Amino acid sequence: MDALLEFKSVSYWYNQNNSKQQILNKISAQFNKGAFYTITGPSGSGKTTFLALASALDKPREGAVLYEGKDIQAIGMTRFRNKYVSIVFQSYNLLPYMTALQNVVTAMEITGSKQTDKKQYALGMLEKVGISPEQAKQKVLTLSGGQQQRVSIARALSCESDLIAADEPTGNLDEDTAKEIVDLLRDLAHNENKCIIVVTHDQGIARSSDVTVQLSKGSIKVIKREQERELAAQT
Amino acid sequence: MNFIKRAGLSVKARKGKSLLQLIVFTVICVFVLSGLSIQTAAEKSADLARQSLGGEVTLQMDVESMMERQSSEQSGSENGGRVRFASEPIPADSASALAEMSQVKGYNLLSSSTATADDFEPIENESTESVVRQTDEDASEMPEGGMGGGGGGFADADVTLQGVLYTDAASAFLNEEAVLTEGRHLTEADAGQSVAVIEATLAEENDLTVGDAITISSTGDEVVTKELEIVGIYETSSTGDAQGMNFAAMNPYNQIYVPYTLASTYKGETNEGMVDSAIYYLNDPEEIDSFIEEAKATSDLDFEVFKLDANDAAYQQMIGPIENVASFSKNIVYLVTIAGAIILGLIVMLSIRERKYEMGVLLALGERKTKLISQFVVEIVIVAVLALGISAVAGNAVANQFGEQLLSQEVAQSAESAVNPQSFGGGPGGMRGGMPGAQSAEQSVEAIDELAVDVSAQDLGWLAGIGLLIAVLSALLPSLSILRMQPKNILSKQD
Repeated sequence: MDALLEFKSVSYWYNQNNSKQQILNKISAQFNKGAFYTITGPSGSGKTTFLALASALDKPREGAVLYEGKDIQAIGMTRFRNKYVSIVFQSYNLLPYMTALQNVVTAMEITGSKQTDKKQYALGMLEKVGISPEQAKQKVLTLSGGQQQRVSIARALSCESDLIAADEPTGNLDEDTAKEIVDLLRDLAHNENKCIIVVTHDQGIARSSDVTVQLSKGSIKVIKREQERELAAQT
Repeated sequence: MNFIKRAGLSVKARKGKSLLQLIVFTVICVFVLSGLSIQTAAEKSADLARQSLGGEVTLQMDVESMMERQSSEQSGSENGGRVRFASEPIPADSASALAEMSQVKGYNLLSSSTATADDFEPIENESTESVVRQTDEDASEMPEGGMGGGGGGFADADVTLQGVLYTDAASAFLNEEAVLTEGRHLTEADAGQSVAVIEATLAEENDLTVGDAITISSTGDEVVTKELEIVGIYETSSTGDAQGMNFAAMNPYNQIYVPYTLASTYKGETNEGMVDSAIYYLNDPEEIDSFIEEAKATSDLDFEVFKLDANDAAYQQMIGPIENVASFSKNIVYLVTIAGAIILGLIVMLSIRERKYEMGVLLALGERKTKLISQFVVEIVIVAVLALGISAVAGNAVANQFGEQLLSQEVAQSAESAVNPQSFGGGPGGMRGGMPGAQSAEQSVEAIDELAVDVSAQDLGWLAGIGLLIAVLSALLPSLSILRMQPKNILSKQD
C-alpha cells in the first residue's frame, strides 16, 4: 500500500550560536490512511518539528516529505496546508471573535470546501465531536477548554483532508476530557479512514494508538502497537 | 470573498478599536471635506468677483524709467543741474492697435488738457480767486507741460478738458460718480469732432443745454480756440478735494468731456494723434498677464518708455482674503491627508501586531497572505465608508462654520492692513484722485466677507477618492509586514 505521507531521509537542524543543533537526522517514516499515529519522545527530541514538517508549517533542511508520493514543497506549502492537511493545536488556535460555528465555516471557506450548505455541514461536524447547536452559536471564548478542542477538531474534520496533524491536543485538558478527545481521534482514523498523527507526552495515549514513532537524539524507533497488544494478549 | 466576510465580523467584534478608527477617520474626512468645499466655494466667489469687476490694464508713460533715464543723461552732461521731467505722449494708433487683442472687451483713450472758458462762466471756488492772484505771479516758474500738459500756465486755466474715446467708459461714469442726464455719450464716431459733454451745474449756471455751443481757448503760447457743440450733460457726485478747490480747473463741475483728439489739439501741434494714456478692459482679470505679455511682444510701442499697468488692486482687495482662505484650506487638505494616513497607518500597524496570532491561525489553515492583507484593507475601508457617510452629513455644517471663521479672520486682518496706509494720508480721494488727467478706474470695493460653502457632489467625490486612498495606504503599508510572516514562528511563539 502506498503511504499517504512519507518522510524520506529527512534532516532538520537549528543554527544556534554558530553551532548546528541537529533535531532530526535522516529520518524515514511512512503514515497511512485509517491509522492513528502518535509521536513521542523527551522534550527537545523534535516532536513539534516533526509535526511542523508533516503539516507543511516548515521545510526539511535535507530530504523530503512526500504526500501521495509527491514532495509537498512541489505541491506548495500554502496549498498543501489548504488542501491536504488539517492541524489541531494544543492551544486550539480558534479565532476568538467568532462563534464555534463561524470558526468551522471560515476554515471550510478558506480551504474551498465544496459543501453547498456549509453551515449545516459545520453544525453536523460540531455535533459529531460533541458540540450542541446552542454551543455552536457561542463565542469560542465562552466554551471550556475541552469544548474548544472539540471545535478545533471539528474544524479539522470539516476541511475534509485525509491527514490530521495534532500537536498535544490533550495537553490542556483534564484526564476524562483528554480520553474523550483521544477516542474521538482514534474513531476518526478507524471509521472515517483518516490518517491521524498526534504528538504527545502521554504514554497512555501512545499505547492506545496504532503506531508510535519514538524520537530520540535525532533518530526514530517505530513501535507497532497492534503487535504489542497481540503479544501482550498471548502472554 | 471569505476575507470580506471575515473583515466584517472582525470590525463588528472589535467594537472599541473600530470606534476609535471611525472617530479618527471621521475627523480626517470632515477636515478634508471642509477644506475641499471651502476651496470650491472660494473658487466660485473668486469667479463671481472676477465677473463683477473685470480686469483693467492701463497703458501710460513709465515715469520712473523716464526719470531714471533723464537723470542719468543730465548727470552725464556738462551742465548737470536739476532733472527736468518731460512727458512722452502715446501714439493713438498704437494704443488702438492693442485693443484688437482677444483678451480686450473694451478700451478708452485718454488725453486731458486745461483751457479757459471764453463765452461762459466756469464754476468758481471760494478760494480760487486768491490763489489765482498768487499763482499769476508764480506762473512763469511752473514747468511746461506739467499738470495736464496744457501749453500754457495751469493757473490761467479754468476748465479741464477730459479727452476720451468713449465717455461711458470713462472712470467717473464707470464708477457712477458721473451720470449722463441729457443728450448722449461721446463715442468713437466723435473723434475729430468739436463736441462736448458738460456738467449739469455748469450748464445750469450758464443756461446751456444740449445743442448749444461753448467756446474754449487753450492757455498756451499758440492759442487754440474752438467752438464746441454740447451733445450731452452729466451730473457728478464728486466733491473734488481740498487741493483741487484751489484751482477752478480742478473743480469737478468744470470737467468737460471732449473727444481725445480735441483735447490733444489743445495741447499743441506736437500732441496731435497722441494720447496721455489708454485703458483696456479685459474679459477676465486672469488674462491680465497674458495680455501684457502678448502686447509687449506684438506692439510697436517702446516699452522702455511706456508701460502696461495692471489695475487689479480692486480685484486683489476683493478676493485677497478668500484666496488666503482657499490656500489655507488647500494646505489643510494636504496636511490632514498625510497626517491622517500616518495616524491611521500607526493604528493599523498596532492592530496587526496584536493580531499576529489570528494571522498565524489563518496562515496555518492555508489562507493566502494577499487575502490577509485584503482583509485588513477591507476592514479599514468599511470604517472609511461609515466615516464618509458621517462626514457627508456633518461636513456641510462644519465646513460652513470653519469657512466663516477663517474668512472673518482674514477679512479683519486685511481690513487692518488696509487702514494703515490711509492714516498716512494715502488711499482713495488723495492727491491722485483729483489730479486732472488721472482717470484710472480705481474702485473702492469691499473684500468678500461671505462664503457660500455648500458640499457638492464633486467635493464628495473627491472626499471619497482621498478617503479611500488614505484607507488603502494606511492598511496596505503596515500590512506588508505580513508577507514576512511564517505561521510556524507565530504559533510557536504563541504556544
